[in-house]
Amino acid sequence: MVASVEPPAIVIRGAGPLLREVCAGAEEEGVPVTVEPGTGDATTSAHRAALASALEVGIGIEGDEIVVHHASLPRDHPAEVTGDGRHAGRTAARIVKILPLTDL
Amino acid sequence: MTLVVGVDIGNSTTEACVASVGEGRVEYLGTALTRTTGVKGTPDNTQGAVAAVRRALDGRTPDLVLLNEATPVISGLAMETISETIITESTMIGHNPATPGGEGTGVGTTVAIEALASASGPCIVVVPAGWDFDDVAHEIDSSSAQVVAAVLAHDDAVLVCNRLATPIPVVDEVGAVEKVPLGMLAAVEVAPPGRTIRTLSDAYGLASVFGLDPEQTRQVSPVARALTGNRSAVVVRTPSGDVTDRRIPVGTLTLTGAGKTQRVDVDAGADEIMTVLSRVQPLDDATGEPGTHVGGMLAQVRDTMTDVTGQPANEIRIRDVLAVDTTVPHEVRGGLAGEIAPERAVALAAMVRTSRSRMQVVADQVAAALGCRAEIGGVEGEMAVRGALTTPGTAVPIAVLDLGGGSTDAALLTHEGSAAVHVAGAGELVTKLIDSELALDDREQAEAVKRHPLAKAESFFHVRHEDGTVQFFREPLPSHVFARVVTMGPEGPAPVRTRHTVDHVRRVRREAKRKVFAVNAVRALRQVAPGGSLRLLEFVVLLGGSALDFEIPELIADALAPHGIVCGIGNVHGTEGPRNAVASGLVDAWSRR
Repeated sequence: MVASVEPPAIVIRGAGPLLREVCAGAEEEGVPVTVEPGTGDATTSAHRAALASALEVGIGIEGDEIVVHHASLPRDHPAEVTGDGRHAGRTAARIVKILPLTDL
Repeated sequence: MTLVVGVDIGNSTTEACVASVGEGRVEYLGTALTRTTGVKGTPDNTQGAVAAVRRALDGRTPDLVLLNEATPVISGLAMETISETIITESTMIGHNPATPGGEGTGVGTTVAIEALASASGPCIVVVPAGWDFDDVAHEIDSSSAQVVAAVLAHDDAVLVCNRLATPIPVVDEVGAVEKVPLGMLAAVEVAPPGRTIRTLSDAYGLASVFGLDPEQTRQVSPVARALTGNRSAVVVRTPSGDVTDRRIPVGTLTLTGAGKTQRVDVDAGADEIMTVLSRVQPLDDATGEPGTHVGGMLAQVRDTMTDVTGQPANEIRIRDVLAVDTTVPHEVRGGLAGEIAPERAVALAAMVRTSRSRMQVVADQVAAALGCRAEIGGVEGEMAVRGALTTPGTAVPIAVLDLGGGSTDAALLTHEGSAAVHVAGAGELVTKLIDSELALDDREQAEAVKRHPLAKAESFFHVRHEDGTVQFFREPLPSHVFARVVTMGPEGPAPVRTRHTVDHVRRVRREAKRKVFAVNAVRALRQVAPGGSLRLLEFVVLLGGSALDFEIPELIADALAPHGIVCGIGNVHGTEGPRNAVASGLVDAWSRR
């Protein structure tokens, strides 16, 4: 018997109307997410979320600003800042999968 | 003491070398390099030549400027597609969305999602842009019809699939979804991750799915071939649907030389063209059939040469041709998602030379601009050999290979005399091949791929070079290079816009260099070698800009190794590397007069 464990996930901190699209972006890429309450501005939320994520990738949402972060990056040097929820979720998942973030 | 400046005007660069000459002694004082202005061998060269001389002089006043007698060599490049895939009546979508949904094969009638309520029997739902994934999943689940597959405009396949009671194969990111014919029998196939489709890429698979007779199966076999290697595909059977693999008439090349005239179809490919060419060496002229692609291309080379030399077009002779097989990306006509198929093509480099050089005009203008004497100091090939001989470890008999931008030149110096030859095809052709085979459509980027080794950014802090070594960076790499194939130039990693792997890009780059320079090295040296035998050459010195390339010299050395030749990169004066050989040779020749 193997106990069922929570898979590692991208941590999303924040809420609002964009949350659904952010989650959809990551789901389309097949990477799990967990959603937690925000902790400050989007960049801070994203960085702390990345540090808390087993996949080292976090997303912060504050109003219409979404920030994608990686635990290895300095706090003020996020991977992406966008207003497009689907794109943010996709970017986060693609960092996990080590795939190019931008379209050709 | 006399202050002498040797100037070499090449196809791409102009080099100058300053020396103080007196009592049989030559002291080299400095060198300089600028871009050639205008077409080599024309009065436009003056500006670049004067700039190079001024830079090399560094404020000194020259007594004499020596120019090379350049054989005007103009190379034209053309690439002609010789096959084209055309889908008529839109029968297939064979694209590879990054994330299709579900897996398996669904066969049914195409139905618009708005009309799903009234549909019956097995059907494939077609969803235009503007539909939300939750609504699409709900419509499919609540339909009375049996929905076996879906085709979506948005990138929503996984999302829709995850919300269905029973997952079905879903293909998404179909840009021209409105062009999918409705009410037609169709099949959608999605392979599991890491696999490619099995049914729709197989002729009998298509026959089984659509109930085709042997004649119809024969007709759809190009569809199967075109879909091979995809992870997902859609095939719609329309009454008169057809995919053809058409060959475009490119025209015939007529090669005249050695008292013979031979004709070759350009679509026979590069090998056949080069074989026919070798039968008519030395080439007197090449012509293309008027009204065809190849005719147009050769006419263009002639026109350029007319502009340069003032010689009438009918007096200009094409003295060499290099044909190379390549591929050109073409959007599939009739495709629905902007599918790109690589089509076969032949690249041609043609070279023209005339006896009428206008270098004397350049010399007169240089003299006027600098207020000193200027004269033609010697013939390019011989001067290059003289310069190359200053490379430590070389001796007569010696051959040089000047790897330029437009042509590859060989010259031989033996105790008995000298010989020189120019062949078509060099650095510019390599760039063009890389550009088209990787579908970059960006000359600058193709140039970067040619010049620099590749790597892949594997995290925000490290890249893996093409040889497998890993380099760590203390500053994070920008997001736009993350997970990308990059070129490692002096300014750091720069992304290459391609979906190909590092290995593929590297293979394309090395093949392009080999197909041009390794082939041309052997071809050019055969023409100057005694009796055409490479075994009789002892020392081969590589010169020119492309000799500075990080792998071209080794590719050429590999090609020459079986002939027992010592081949290496020139090191003029033991310090200048493969640059400045002609300019130095000019000074050297003058000092011995």
